[in-house]
Amino acid sequence: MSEFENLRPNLGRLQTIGLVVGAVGLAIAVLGAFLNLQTFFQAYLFGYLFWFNLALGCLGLLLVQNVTGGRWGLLIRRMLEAGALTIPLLGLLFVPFLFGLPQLYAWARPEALNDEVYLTKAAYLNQPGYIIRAIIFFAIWSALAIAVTRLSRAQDTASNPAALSRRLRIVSAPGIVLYVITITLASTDWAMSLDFHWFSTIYGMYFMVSQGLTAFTFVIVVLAALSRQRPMAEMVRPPLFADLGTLTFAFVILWTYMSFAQYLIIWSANIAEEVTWYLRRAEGGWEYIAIVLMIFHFAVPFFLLLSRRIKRSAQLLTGVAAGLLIMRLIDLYWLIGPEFHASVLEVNWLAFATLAGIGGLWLAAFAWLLPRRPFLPIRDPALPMVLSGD
Amino acid sequence: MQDNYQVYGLVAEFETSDQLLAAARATKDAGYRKVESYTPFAVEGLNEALGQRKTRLPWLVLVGGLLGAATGFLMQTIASVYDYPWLVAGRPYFSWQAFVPITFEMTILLAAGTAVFGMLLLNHLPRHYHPIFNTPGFKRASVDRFFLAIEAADPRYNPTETTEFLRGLNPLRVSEVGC
Amino acid sequence: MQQSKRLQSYGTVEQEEPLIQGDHSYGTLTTKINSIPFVPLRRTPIGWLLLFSLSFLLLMVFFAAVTYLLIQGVGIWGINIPVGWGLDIVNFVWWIGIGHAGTLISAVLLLLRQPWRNSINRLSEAMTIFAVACAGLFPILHLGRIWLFYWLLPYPNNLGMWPMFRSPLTWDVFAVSTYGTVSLLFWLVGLIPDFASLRDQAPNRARRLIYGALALGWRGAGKHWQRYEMAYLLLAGLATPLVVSVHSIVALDFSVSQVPGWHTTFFPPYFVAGAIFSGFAMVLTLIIPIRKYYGLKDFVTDRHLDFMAKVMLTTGLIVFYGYMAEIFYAWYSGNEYERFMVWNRMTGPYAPAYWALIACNGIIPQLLWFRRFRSNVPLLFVVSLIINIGMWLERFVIIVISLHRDYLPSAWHMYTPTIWDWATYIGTIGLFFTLLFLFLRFLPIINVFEMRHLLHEEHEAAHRHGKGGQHGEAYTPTPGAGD
Repeated sequence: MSEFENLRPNLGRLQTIGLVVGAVGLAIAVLGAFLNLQTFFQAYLFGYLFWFNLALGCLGLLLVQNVTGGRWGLLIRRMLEAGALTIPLLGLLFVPFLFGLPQLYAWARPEALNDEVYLTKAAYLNQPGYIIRAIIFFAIWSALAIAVTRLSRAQDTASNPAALSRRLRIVSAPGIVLYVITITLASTDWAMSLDFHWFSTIYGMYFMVSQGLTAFTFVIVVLAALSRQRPMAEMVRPPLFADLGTLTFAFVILWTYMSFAQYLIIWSANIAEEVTWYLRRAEGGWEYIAIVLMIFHFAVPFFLLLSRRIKRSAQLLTGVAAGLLIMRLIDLYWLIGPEFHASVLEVNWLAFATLAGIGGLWLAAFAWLLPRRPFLPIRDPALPMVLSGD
Repeated sequence: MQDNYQVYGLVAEFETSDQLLAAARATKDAGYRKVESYTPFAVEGLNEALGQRKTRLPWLVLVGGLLGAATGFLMQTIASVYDYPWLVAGRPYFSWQAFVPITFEMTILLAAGTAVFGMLLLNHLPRHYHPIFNTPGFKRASVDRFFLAIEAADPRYNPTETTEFLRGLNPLRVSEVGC
Repeated sequence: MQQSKRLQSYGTVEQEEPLIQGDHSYGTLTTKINSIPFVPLRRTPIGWLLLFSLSFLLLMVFFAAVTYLLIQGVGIWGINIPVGWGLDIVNFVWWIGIGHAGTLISAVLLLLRQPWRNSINRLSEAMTIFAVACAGLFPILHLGRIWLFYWLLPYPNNLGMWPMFRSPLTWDVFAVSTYGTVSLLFWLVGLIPDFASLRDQAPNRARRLIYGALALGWRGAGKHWQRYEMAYLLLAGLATPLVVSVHSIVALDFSVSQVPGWHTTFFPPYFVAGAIFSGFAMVLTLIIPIRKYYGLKDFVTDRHLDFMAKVMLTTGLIVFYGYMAEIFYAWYSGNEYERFMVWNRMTGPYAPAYWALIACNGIIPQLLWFRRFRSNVPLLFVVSLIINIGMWLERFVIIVISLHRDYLPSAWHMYTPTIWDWATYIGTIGLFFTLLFLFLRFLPIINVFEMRHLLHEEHEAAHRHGKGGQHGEAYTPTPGAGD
């Protein structure tokens, strides 16, 4: 669609910058790998999971949008699709893990065989199992992402777009079920098992909510940037931002709810095998991170997003969203960092390198994928209603 | 005419909400200020058309909620830490984690109470009598008719002129209503 | 703007089925719903009388059971050590869970701007209040010394004591009483404009006086509507986190403990989903016969039932996820007590309850994936009944199976509910239906003013799509106005 032609140069620039930053970041990271392999893998896991959460959040929101069809989703659907389509790239970037499992996970080291608790779950937690599961996960996610974006693309030229909306629904509804199952297992494999004695049943849901929040805030930032120019400027009106703001608000509350539920239950029961996870995060500086999270991941955005004025203003909402994206980074670091740097808060410079390296490539892929199709699902039956806005 | 008869105002009855909205805009443009509408449901845009300001209720509710949170948290802290320290399961007296649920419930309770009773208070309800109920046919204001009242207390009110004005708005009827 | 006009032409507008069927105007709609409470007492339908009498009879069973409980103490129940929580707590959680759908339909759907809530929110809010009333009785009865229930409340007393604020059971007191209060306020506020229209349409003086007093002098003034709508919206915004918090706190009653099968971190969201699941099932169980009996199919359409079936499917899947996660993480934990707990559920003495639960909540709701089954009303009714049973079994499985096998085999004990357990349970069903039938008889069962608003909006929408004024004589669009 020619209307969107003037958005391309910016995305092209983003693509170039992303590629350069990605290449430089990864080069530095590889250099770091030669200095200290273990630190490299720890940093790589952190950087990887952030962008992974973003991409999978896009996929999750996309599936939900296809099923429920709220007006909030139509104008951001193509961005979510572009985000979800980066999953094969993330699959590629996952490959280094296959060579570093013992560097990351205590259960993958030979000493684990002397651990009684490990032996009870060795049938699940082992290197071949981890790798096979990861391959299955990426196959499922990529297939889902490609299937729904194909259908969505086909709708642009379809003679009967309503039929394609229905097909999107039919594919996406079981897709959500698959997404939930795979994310639960993937979060267990990749992050929870860093401390393989510890377990928490809410962990998978917490991960999904985190992914949704990451994707939402990212999309708000991108949408605000794109809607500075025509034609998006005319389509994206304050009520849409208010909707996105309200949903971000809901996700912030959900994140708080999940985090606090887990904390209260484990704190209150005070069982040795569980509470150690929080004890590690309550000392050596990590406790300040927890306070920062309480204030800036919950309290501040909560009160800001109560205001209708902020939610309706693209600029102010973008500010809140950007702040939340940074808090997502900090929360992720709080989640996995203490497993590597117990009892003292430490951030290795390599973490920044991997974050920038993977992020650069990811953003370049996103900027390349986004303009490859019309910016809006132009023939979606609900679009006229959304644009006329009522 | 009775001795203590006083005119409350003029009331016009309309068949549709759109007619009422148009009439409300015209009335405001004509400079009337003591105007009120009576409708069977909340008609969108009517408050703006009548020039009514936004309600302060949300602020009251915010204050109510904060008060509830403070009450809840302080009550638990004072009781558990100062007035009746009691060691259970080795948890500290000041277990803020455990105080969160009740603090939350108290926030909601007071905020919700403020919303309901604040609304009634600002609306001066309950109220057993109001002159508008003397309007002929007003029983349908809660079913399917839309009313617009201009009070006699309005500075621009003039029995004949205002009646003429209201007649010009295409109502079903215009009635003078006593107190 | 021109741009968006052009983009508009790319799509085709899908016309949805209206939420109000039939040829209705504001007047016919109001009269139709108000006619139910206006039926003179002498002409009370015989069907209503029969059902009400039956419920009232069950309520008497409740009073008998409670009287005997007061005389004898909780020993008349089947509870023992280690199964200190029996049917009383099962029923408590079951009832309060049922209540949650009412708040959800009213509050969350209002916030989500789902217009289909309007015809069912009154009934489901009423259901909430009656269910919370039933729920609240159980923990009090469980106290044994019922007359000292006020010791649960924080008040300065001559013993110098305060409740234990670090205990989830004290949280429960606050959660349930706040929930009851806010639900009642929400319901009553929603009734005010409808009381006004009952007052104005009342066929005789007695009813005019009663409904008039309840209407608080409501006159539908523009400024009043503005504050009213704001208060209603704020209440919805407050009730939404409240409903989540209440069942989360109920979940915490179990999960902050150290009992395997109780102590698990996902209990709060899983309980909330289960509550919504059972609550929607109960709404369907009630509304399907009611809409048939009172001829309300114009307002509670098949589309409504379809929506509710979808919500049940979604929440049912979350609950099913919970069952699966419970099994997986019990195994993954490597903890022998956790693993035993799951194994005991599947193969222990109460295994039939567990497998019945999986069938009722896990397998049968999967039918709702298919539109064919969702649109089959009798089948939907049966499924909703099955889910009600399944959710009751879920609480039984969680509470009784987890308790009856303590850490030490010497402390193991079976639990068998006695006739008094069942009498109390059936008695609260009597209480619920007694209140429900009174409600159905004397109050407007559908939110009339919201329905008028909905009718208005559907006219507007139809008008926008060039089909204005098809819904009845009361609406004659004015050219140029609106839009």
